[in-house]
Amino acid sequence: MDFSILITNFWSLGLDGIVVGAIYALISLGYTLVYGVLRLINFAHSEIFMIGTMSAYFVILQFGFTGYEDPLPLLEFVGIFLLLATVSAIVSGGSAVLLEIVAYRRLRIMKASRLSSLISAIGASFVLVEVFRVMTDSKNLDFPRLINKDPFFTWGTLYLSADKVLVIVGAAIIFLILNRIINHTKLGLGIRAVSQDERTAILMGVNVNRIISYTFLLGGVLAGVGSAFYMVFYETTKSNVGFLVGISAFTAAVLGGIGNVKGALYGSFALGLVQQYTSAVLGYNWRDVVTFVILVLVLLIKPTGLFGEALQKARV
Amino acid sequence: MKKIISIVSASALAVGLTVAAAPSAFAACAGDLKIYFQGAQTGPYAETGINEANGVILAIEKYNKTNPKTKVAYDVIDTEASGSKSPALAAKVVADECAIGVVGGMYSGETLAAVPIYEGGKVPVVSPSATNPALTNKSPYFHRVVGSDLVQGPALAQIAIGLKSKLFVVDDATAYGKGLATIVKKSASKIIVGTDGVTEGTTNFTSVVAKVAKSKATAVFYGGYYPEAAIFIKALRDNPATKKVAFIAGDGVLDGEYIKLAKKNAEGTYLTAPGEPMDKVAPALAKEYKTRFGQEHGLYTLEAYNSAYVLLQGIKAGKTTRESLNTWLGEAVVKAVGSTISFSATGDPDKIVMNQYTIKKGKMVWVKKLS
Repeated sequence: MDFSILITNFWSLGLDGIVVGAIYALISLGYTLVYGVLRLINFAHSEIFMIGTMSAYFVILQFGFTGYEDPLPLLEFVGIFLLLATVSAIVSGGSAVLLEIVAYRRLRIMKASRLSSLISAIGASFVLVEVFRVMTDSKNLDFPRLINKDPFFTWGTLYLSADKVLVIVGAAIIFLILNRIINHTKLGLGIRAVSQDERTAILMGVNVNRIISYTFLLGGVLAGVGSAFYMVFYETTKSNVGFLVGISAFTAAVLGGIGNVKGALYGSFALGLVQQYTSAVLGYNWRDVVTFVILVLVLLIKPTGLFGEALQKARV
Repeated sequence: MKKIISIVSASALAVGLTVAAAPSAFAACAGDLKIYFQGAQTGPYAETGINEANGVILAIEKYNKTNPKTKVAYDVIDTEASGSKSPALAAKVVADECAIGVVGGMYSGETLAAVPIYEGGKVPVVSPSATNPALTNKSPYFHRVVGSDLVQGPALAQIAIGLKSKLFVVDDATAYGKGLATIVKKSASKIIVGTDGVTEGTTNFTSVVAKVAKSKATAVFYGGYYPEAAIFIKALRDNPATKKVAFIAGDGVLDGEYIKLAKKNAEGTYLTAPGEPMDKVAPALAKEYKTRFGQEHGLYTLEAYNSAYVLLQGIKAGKTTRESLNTWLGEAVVKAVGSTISFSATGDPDKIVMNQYTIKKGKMVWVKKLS
């Protein structure tokens, strides 16, 4: 147990935690938005993220990079990255909408119990992982180095490189756009209305089915963009990549208060930082232990999370 | 009439039960004897597994050409090198009456899990590449043609000591990785400056790299397999503080897939393996392999070939039941390709070799034999 590393590497670990947290945030927003409107935990959302990484891999495959070339010049990289993010966003968003139609809609129409929807979610998750496992031969897929990762700014042990800046700035832009959508558009109004009280929303003329589809689409698009950031940063993926990333993102959403957008953001950054600091002090293999302990503690002590609503108020 | 029918049916039932309860020697193999290969054919470790399986196929095909009357068939169980998948598949092999021997498992975890099943079915097993020390003396039915990590660990420690380095040790919590790392830690205890552990499937090595940088290590030993090693070495080379550390790893990392995943970062990695360089000790066979399969051989292709060769020699000597083949294995001295193979009472080979390799210009290169 080496606590001194907290002092020597405080800022660098903090930066890495923020980067990881930003990726978690993009995914946890999907969990939290869907929970907000449906009171359903979309366990297959981690696979929506995985599908995004796969589509990014597929796109980059078309370019024929061998992986031995030098990183791309900045303008070219930005162009390719925007292409990756757009394709991943469309594919993930589309998959999420399809997932809702196939796995959840009929159960909702039949007013099935929430347990059935949960089982359907887990089943959908298995199906997607296995389909991609077969398609990729269970192999690790690697991503060529597109961006120059040499640090351009150093301060003690802190190394600032372009990929970290990309993730943080890119995620910040996405959050600002999302904030506009949720708070200043009719769609956002509809989402907030359905989250608050579905019946009254229907009485107010909100098309609930359409709002739910849009919510899945929105969550999927965010996960797709997150997957593009993930691929540039980690440069690898495989069929079960969604599992651990999804669990961390889900824990972050619960930590912040599931159903609450602000909570998902803060919870994600908090979890990212906690993970980095604990793995530096205790060792990396304790990271997932800490994640799950936090999840269990939050559920036991404050199930509504840091910013969540009181559970009694939640519509059953 | 009724009495006669009941007597006849009762006796028929009695005969049927006796036959069913009779020892499985009655249920003989309907076709050719089979040798199974246990290992990964899909999954992240598939490349090593396919190269081993092909070695077994080549051995069987060559044998069948010169022994057309007693042909041997080849079959495979794809465990993805996983210890959770191997027991069920091993049971499938045991239930196959034609299965006379197994070349495998490929990795230590899957072998440790499967050997008890094979022992129950009295199936002789010869592993070409499982190196965990716990397999020594594990079962009278288990043999292997490679030395255990009790030899590989100290060899790796010697490399680190020879570099006059400050060593940081990382393991991946698998039977193989953690086992090897523990031995390295013991052998190189004077030069260790830090340790960490990851899990299979880790992609985020930033905290591990931070620890390595802080410990001012000049060499890193990774106990584990190539998928994670490739990501780890990339992360080390990306961080200016750890850009120049020497990267040392065992045979789990020595694979073409490592070079493919780590690319330029794989250059100069210090690697060991208890396998012989096929191009050096069996160049003719290496060429045959390339012609037959259209690709270069892998690290343990020769060992897999020899493991199958040993089993085939036993079958040729008339040992066509599992137990007789196993007994024969315990005493046999076989002149295989590039080496003479015989097993000690514990299942380990009598002659143990250890070799050092490195990656140069994107290719696996043999460096020297280690004593």
